[in-house]
Amino acid sequence: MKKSTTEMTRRGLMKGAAAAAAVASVSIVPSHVLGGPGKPAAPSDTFGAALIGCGGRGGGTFRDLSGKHGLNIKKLAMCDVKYKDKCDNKMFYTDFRRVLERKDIDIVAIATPPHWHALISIAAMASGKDVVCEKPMTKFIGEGRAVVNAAKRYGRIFQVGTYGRFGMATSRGTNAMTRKIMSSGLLKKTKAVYVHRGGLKVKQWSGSVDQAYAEIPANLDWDMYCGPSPLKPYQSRRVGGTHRGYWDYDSGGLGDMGQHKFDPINFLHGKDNTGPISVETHAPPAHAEVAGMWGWSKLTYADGFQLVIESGEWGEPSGMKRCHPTIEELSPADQEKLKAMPDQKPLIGFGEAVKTRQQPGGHAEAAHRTVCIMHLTNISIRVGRKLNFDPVTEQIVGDEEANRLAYQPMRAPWHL
Amino acid sequence: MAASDKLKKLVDKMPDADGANDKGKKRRRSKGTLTGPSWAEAAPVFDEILKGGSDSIVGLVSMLAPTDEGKDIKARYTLHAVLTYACTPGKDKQRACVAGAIASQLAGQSKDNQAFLMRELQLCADAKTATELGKFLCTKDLSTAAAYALTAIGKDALPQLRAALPKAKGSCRLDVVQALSVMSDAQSVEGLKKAAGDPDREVRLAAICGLANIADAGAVDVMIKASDAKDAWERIQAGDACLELAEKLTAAGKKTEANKIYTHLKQTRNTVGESHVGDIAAKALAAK
Repeated sequence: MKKSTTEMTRRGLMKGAAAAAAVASVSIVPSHVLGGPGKPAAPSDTFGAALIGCGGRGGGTFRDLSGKHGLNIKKLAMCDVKYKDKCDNKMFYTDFRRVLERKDIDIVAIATPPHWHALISIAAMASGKDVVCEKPMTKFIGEGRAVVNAAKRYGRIFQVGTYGRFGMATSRGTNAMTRKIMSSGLLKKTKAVYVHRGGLKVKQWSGSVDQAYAEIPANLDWDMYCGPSPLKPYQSRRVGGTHRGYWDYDSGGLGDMGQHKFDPINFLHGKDNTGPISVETHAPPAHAEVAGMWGWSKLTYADGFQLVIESGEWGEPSGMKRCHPTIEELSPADQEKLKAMPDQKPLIGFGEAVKTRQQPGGHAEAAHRTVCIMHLTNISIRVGRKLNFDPVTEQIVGDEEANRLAYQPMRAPWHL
Repeated sequence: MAASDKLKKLVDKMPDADGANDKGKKRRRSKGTLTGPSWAEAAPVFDEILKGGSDSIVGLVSMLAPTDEGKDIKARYTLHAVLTYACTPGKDKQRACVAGAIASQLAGQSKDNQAFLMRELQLCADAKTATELGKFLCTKDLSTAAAYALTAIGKDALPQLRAALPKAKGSCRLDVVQALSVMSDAQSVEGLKKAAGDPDREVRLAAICGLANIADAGAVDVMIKASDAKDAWERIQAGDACLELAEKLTAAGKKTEANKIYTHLKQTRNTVGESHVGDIAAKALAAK
């Protein structure tokens, strides 16, 4: 049966057009009109898409492509390490590499556990795909910079799966003024403090230290699940949501919820292109394998801004209070300059970004800077001391052990 | 060496799994999480353990059960926490003592514990422990953990990795090639060029990644050859490594070599699914 045009994907159209042009030697429609990988698309275009990581948030993340992001999507592949029993390498896959090799896929939605996020995102962009990747964007700091570089190199659209900043961009009142002041570049020193308390599921996503080894389920490709992380004996809580409690795959409730909570705060305070210069935490000595309890983290930026994160689940609170930046912190001349500055425009969503090839609101650099808040907090908790961080070189200063957690080796054959 | 009674008492001050003493449904609900003491409570215990020097660390290692299934929660937790504490900047002697003691215990442990201890060394090891770790680079199932730790040590561990390159086989060879590649070891260029023609695809890919990282202009022909791979995944990865190398050569002012790569990619990446690479190469050439 002949396919209708609406069932064909952009790449299919491109391929067909190129073949027809080659055979008929007639003048072809320019690619910027027809669309094509990395080129602006018509609103009616259908995009071939794949979901990698089909448990948990996977279904929702994929549905968002056609729902929230308003794209015409044709689902072409589903990949999960638990598909050993139904893998046909046509629609169902266990190995994401086979998916990325396909030339009819334009967009990849990634909802695997976090230790796979960076590697699959980078490989997808190298394969010419646009990417929407679930949070947290990465497992350690070095991965984030590699994702940013890949997005730049390949000119692909990358959007992390959190959208709180989109609402923040259109909010009015104090938030709008805070955003304007903090992102203006006029404020050299501030006393502003943002205190975030609770909602981080710290106890819920703490890992287990007493799990017996078990037989690997028949449908699970355990080696592929572990991927760049150490290949360890199978324990059931290492998969299926409770993976969040293990440093090998995630970083507890902070990893699970942090990108949602801190991404709007980072945006609000104009920190999309920088990071803190110091991080101090209050927590018990950490376990080697699993995430556990912690009390608070205090991150200080070069301009004096402080982000305080309180779990509300362990120890004494930080005692810090929220303090908004005010226009009075600027000189009279700078206050006038600020007033003349335009208000924040709404951010571009993933769907529009894919069609117009513009940077989306939750782009790789911004997402990386947010996830670094979580990584630095977790590293400080894991080493039990205050860290000094250089947000330009992205190195922890004067603490080699802490840096080893910021830049972790990967299990071959996986590498950045 | 068995743990002394004093050490056992210190370890016993550390927590068990949350709810370990609960019974029935309450116990099952506790999920086996672990909540440590505050640092104010823990630090004096760790100081006392560290005062015992390497004997204490060896004693802690002896308290590990052969597998990590919750039979040694306090000892495993204490060993890691003491190690972390000893890595505090300024505690160089303690750090070296802990690393040396752990490295001395690698032989004769269960495979699980060997891997666990090497991962601990990944955090605290230094040049002195690299030799011990290097002994495992040709041991199947342990070469990965050894390579992790040696990679973390950095350039001081390169002699061990270089020495293992001609000897390592199978997955061990992949671990060694990857470690040298990730560490951008310029002295291994010839070895990596050879590995770029290895029968194993993953070894080839690790090697060309290393050649790109090192940014050796003499590797251009090897990289171009690699980029012509038939295997689709290898082709994607090799194309990426070529772009990386070309970018680095351009930045180093080696435009002729960079242009050679860009020209090849422009000519060979022009069909659907690959044209984005060809476009990047074309743009780079146009910018020169």
